[in-house]
Amino acid sequence: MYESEKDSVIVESDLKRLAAEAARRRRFLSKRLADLADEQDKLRLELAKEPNGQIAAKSIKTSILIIGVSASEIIAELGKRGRPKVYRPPGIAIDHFARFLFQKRTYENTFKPTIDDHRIEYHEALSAHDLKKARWITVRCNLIMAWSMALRIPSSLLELCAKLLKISGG
Amino acid sequence: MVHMVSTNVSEKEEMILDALINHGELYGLQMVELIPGLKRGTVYVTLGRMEDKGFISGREVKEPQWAGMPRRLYRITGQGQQVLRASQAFDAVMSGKRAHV
Repeated sequence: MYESEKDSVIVESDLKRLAAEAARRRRFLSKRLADLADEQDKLRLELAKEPNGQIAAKSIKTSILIIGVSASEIIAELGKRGRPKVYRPPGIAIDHFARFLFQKRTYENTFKPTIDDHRIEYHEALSAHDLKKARWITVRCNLIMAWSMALRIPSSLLELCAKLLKISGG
Repeated sequence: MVHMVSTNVSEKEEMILDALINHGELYGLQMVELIPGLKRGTVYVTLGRMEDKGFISGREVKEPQWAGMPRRLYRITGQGQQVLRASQAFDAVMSGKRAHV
């Protein structure tokens, strides 16, 4: 066999391989397009069900496929997800409750030191990037405050009764 | 004039008074670390009651090296010292009686 014949055989086999590869890719792409069309139909149906025609963007890929969802809406949705959440220090709500329920002296002697200690520990945990510990400190602060309030309520009630008796001259 | 001192102190209160006599001024959490059996959930309730009775006194301290809130520092009062002495004497008498029996 001459060199030119060898070359022609090689070229022929390459062409066959390339054709097979192209056919495989065409099949893959047509299947992928069919899948995407199905996904688009599903999303349209979901969108139609939503009252305001808005739907939470499930991913960038799917949100681009949704017809009627503008780029600004997608950016706004992504911005909401990326925004850092601000956590309040422990004992905010229960602190107001204790201030309302107990005398100033009782509050300052019993409840304020508990909250102060927990806030110091909470900020130490946050500065050490230990979010789990910080969350646990918040939970523990609320539990301890609730328990302390349960322990203090009877004596506070007795004090109140004694005061009322004194005022009424009993 | 005879001055009567109440010995109506609980075991926990006695331990707190004893720790304050030995260490001077202490924070609530330091007491939790020093005294076995004293829980951080109830320490401030006990300390609040003791303050109400006049056995200890607390003041808020803002330490310059601390960035956070001011913390409450406790010390024993004269009345607290008297109560502790009376309670310890009472305990000694009772244990002597028990030993005698």
